[in-house]
Amino acid sequence: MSLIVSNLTKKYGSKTVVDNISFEMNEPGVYALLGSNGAGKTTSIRMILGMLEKNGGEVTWNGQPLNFDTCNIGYLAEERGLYPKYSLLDQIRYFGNLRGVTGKELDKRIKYWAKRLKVEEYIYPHFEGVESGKIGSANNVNSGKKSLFASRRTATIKKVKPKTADQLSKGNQQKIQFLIAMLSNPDLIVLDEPFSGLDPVNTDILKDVVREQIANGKYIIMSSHQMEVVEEFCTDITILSRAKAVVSGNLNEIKKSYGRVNLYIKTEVDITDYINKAGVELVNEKDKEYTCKVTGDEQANALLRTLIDNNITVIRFDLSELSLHEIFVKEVGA
Amino acid sequence: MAGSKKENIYSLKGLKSVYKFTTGQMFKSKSYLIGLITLVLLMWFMGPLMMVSGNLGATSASSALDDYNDKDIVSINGIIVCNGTEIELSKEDVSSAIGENLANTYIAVTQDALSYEAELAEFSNSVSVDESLGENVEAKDTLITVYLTTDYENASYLVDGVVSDNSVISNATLDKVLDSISDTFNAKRYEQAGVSSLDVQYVMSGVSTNDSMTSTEYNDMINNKNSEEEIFTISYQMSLLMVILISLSISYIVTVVMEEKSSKLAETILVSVRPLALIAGKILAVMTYIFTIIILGTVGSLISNSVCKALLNLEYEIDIIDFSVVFSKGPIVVAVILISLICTYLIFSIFAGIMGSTCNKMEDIQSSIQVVATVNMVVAFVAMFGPQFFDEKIMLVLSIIPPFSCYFAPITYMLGDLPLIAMIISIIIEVLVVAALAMLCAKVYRTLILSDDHRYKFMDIIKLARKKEEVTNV
Repeated sequence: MSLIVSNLTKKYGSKTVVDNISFEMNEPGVYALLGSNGAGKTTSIRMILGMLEKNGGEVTWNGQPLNFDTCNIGYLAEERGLYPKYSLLDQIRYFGNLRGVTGKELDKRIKYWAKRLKVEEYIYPHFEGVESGKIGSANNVNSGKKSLFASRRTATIKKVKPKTADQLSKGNQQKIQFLIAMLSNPDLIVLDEPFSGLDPVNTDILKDVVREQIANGKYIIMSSHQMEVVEEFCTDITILSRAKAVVSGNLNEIKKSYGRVNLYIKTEVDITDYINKAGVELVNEKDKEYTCKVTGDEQANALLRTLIDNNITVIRFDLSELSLHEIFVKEVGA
Repeated sequence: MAGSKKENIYSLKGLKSVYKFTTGQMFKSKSYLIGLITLVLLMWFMGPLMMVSGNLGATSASSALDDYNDKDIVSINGIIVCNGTEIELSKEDVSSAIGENLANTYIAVTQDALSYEAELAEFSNSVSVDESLGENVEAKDTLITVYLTTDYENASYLVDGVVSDNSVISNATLDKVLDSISDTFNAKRYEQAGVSSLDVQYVMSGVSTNDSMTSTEYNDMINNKNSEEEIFTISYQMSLLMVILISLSISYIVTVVMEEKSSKLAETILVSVRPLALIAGKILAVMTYIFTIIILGTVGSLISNSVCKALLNLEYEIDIIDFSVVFSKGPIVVAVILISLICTYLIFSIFAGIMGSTCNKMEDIQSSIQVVATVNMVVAFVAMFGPQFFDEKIMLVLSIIPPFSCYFAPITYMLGDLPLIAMIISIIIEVLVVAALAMLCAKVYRTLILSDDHRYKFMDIIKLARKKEEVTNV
């Protein structure tokens, strides 16, 4: 399977909002579409998915034009949206039916994903309550079974109706939408800002799911502003700035192309003079921990030799590439 | 390289799922259910309520005799009729006129002043005034004297009611008595003249003349079974039915379309279903809901009106609102009318769907509904009164051209002024209009539903549809 996007262009009148964007995914993994606000990420995604007419270019999946007939697509939109007053289960079933999943298979998948994303309590009715004055073995309140002895206790067990979308937090709505996107077991998953608004616990849940999907051979396009998350998953990226792709390709190679310029040193004594003499730019210093910028390996090695020659005990010496965040700021901010 | 074919924007894949979901949610929603039940009950009981209240009004006018309250009864102790006319009126006639409630009242009929004085004296001596009327009330204050005289100048009769200056009898009570006696007096007049009430009605109604006409026009008029009243009834009933149908559909369609836009769901849905299938599913769902109301309402109305007429034995029947005209012309007419209703619904609902998709916020809904509603009301108004004023040629033209044909065609067909073949042509034209609107919708709906920063006007929509289609994914 492969996804090829070539020369994607979109114009509104004389204004070009997406200018010749191209990339390929020839093996499963995560492809990141990054960019500042208004750079053209969402427009590009909409064109890829066929929701927006293109002014140029084409998108193919396995050599055929990409649409929901030729490719099983799961899409998590940037705008969070569910029917506010309808039952969540009805909505989820509806979207499953639209994607061709019906009957018991659909119910099975809903149960699986609801459990996986920890949203069961919002979708299905259940019992909640506090039992007091009970003698004997514990009763499983949330199993749905009422105790035979409830009438003889000061118990307040009540059946809780499933919630509607407007009763959920933004994060939980997002998880429901993610569940909807995964119902058809899609081959191509498009996630537009999937982690925005999620707390750390839910972020970890989603990250686990993404890792699992990668392992299952899925193709994922992700758009995000959270660089650390992108670095965690993505093998290839495109950074958009003002409608154009300013950086595109394999993430490791891109990083290598900028060289290893970040230097972190931890010592037991003050080495500020040595740093200055070596011509290294000192970015930050805190309690004998030094963050520096070097021009390359040579300068870093020269500083290390100087420290060693002067019998300075180096606790930690870490030469690394630019982070994706730094690359992004460098390219988009320029 | 991928093929560069145009996108199949007319695909209806997913229509069934959209229809099932939207219908299910409408019938599960409390507000929609309450609306359905309310409208159906309104249609069921509107006719009977109008009939019952109409009959109550008529009954109260003619049964004033039985409407005396206790105070009236106490305050009237005597009625003396001075009959100065040649019409014979007996004491029994007056007794039956005023009814059983005043059975104990002193009644007398005199022909001259002497007998009147005698009766007056007899009355004053025999009657006792009720204490509740007060201490200073005399017998004459509880007496009504009715003078029946002949007005030779105007060739008519006069009925005058006279009471004392200190009379305790109210004007309303006096009027009731005089009305009763007048009615009886009139009846005696006709009886003595040897004419019936119907004869009098014919005499009083006058003569209506038609303009000069050819023999063909005369024969058509003779064979025309529809009276003016029937024409109005048919056009009113059908127009009312259509107004209910279209008004409901406009607001519901715009609401369900805006639901997705305001919930930011459009993107998620459009990845799974094409825009025409999406809007078509919604339109069909709303149609199911509204036609449930219409069918339950009209059938129920027919039953409730029939039961009301049969059980209550009403003197006055009102046909204006019982929708019986729809069912009275036979099954073919019913089938043709139903098809026409469906075409009408589809035309207005697709229009409403397109207008609804241009809304960006809830405040825009009102103006969108207004546009479609205005067209609907203008056409309905013309259809309601047109058959009485327009000639056949104009009616024929209006029966063919949408949107007027949506209303005119079924009406003129039921009136027998539109042949079946013309009705079929009208329906075919409406189907073509539906198809054209559906094509327009398929081209523009996705762009409109995804747009949230630009309010598209009607000309913008036409320009959008006319834009050459670019190569997209197929």
